[in-house]
Amino acid sequence: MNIKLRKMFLLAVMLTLSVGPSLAQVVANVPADHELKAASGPSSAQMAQGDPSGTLTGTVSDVPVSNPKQGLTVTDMANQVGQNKIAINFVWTLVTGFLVMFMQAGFAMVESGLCRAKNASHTYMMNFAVYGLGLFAYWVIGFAIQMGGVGAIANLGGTAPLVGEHMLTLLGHTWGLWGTTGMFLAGHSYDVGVMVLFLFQMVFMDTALTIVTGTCAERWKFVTFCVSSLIMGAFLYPLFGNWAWGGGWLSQLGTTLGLGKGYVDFAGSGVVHAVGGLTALAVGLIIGPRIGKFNRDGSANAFLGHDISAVLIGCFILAFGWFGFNPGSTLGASGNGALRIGSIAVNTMLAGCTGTFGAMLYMWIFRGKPDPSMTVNGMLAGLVAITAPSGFVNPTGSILIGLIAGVLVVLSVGFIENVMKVDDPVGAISVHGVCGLWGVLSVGLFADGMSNYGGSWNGVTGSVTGLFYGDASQLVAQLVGISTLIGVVFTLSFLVNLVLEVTIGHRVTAEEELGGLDIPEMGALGYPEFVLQPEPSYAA
Amino acid sequence: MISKLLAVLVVWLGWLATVVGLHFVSGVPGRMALSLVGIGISLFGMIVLLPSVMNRSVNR
Repeated sequence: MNIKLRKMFLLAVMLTLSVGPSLAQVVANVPADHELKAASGPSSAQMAQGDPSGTLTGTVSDVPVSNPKQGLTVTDMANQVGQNKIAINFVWTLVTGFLVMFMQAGFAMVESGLCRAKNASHTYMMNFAVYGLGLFAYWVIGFAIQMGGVGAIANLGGTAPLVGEHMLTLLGHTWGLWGTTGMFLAGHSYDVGVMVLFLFQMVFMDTALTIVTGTCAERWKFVTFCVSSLIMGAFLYPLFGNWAWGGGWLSQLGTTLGLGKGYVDFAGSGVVHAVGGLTALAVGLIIGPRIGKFNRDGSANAFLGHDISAVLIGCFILAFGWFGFNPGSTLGASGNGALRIGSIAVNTMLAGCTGTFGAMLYMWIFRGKPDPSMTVNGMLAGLVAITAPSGFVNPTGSILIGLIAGVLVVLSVGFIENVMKVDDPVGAISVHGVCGLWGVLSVGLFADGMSNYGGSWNGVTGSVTGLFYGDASQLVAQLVGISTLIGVVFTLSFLVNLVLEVTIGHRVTAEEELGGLDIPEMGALGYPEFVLQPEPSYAA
Repeated sequence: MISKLLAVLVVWLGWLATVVGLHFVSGVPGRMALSLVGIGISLFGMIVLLPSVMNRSVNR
């Protein structure tokens, strides 16, 4: 038998089964080809009687034989082991991607529930439409910009066609700026591994886009929302996605400048949530507050949401989807340390839990009641914050990260409304922007150096380790990421949406806003049998 | 419009200070301090300058 193949088989067996015997023992146990030929599964007669115990199904009979004349060989076995590993990872990544896709329903319920009944149809429709708009833009060019130069991803068994990255040589280093392969998923990108990666990354991108609709709800012109979302899905989101996840310059900070393992963002506190939250702030600043939100003395009026049950159920849907968001970001359940998915899932639920406590207790102690909508934001804040560090921290770190996020979101909502005078009907800027940035920072503080995803991260050998566990340089890489999110992503989002403001305008007319957006923008009321309350005196 | 663009320029300059600073300082403490200064400049532009400029023009 080919010696090289035998070695590959040994390696595959050891990696796949995670067994720990010595190499000599394994060599002694490797079956020769003639032994494999002798192996036989249950007979047709046995199978015809059914298999109620499940002991006859899935045997050597199910391993494909490449050459019937030769019979089953070690090569066939090794190929089957490899295919099983990649199949496990494909299924894992796809299923977790489906969970993330369902988060759109959660966002729709939370955002619409926190808005007034007269805008329900419009708010639901924005959340619904953003899925298709973002998907289309991402298919055309967004995916190529973000992941076109990522190279082969071992857990997905390939994605090798994605090898085009536009580079800039500056100050003695080469910096990745954007990907160049994968447009329309055509050509060599028509590849099974690339398809899995596309689906998973696409639903992440859509999550970022839907954050903006919350902040701009109840006054955003639908056509402008469509154009803004297309541009964000095609260019703005993918650009930072490339820098962080696609092999771009932020991920290279470890190899180029010796900053930890480069900018690290496991599942997207920065890439998804901070990008969405900061874009929401940019558009929120341009579009301005809802009529009647602020009084002449600058004090704010509360606009109560119309359906707290939708808000609470929507939040649970989001929390459920987060089990796709974070554990799915291993892009596999087999190989390269992916068994850490259990730890990642537990970290996710713990941070959501303490985020809930943080916000609820703060409101209870300092405002007298455990406000439901703020408690929902507390859970989401904890989940957003743990998204970046979930793959690198321990449960104690998760508890602290979530708790801090829960308090931070309450303080931030007050600051943005009362100091910045920005009207954010659902608190999206605080939940996703502020707590997203906190999540990015927390990697540089709490990463415990115990993770091992194939022995390196971003091309730097070793485990991601934060300041509290001995590596201050990782914190610097995270700070550079935060600076980029604010200084570049926010700036670009602001400028693009300022152009839209000058050309087609972001805001509906005052009459449309006061009457509700459902009829003028959607043509139908969300709740046609409701008797809508007339606007108070400020409408005059 | 000019004031809006100037305010957002300050946000961008904060990032520029961070990345340029990384090349002039080699130690971790120095780089950390420069990064914080850059973030501070950006935050000043984003949460102080821009809201004041925007609220003046879109106050309804």
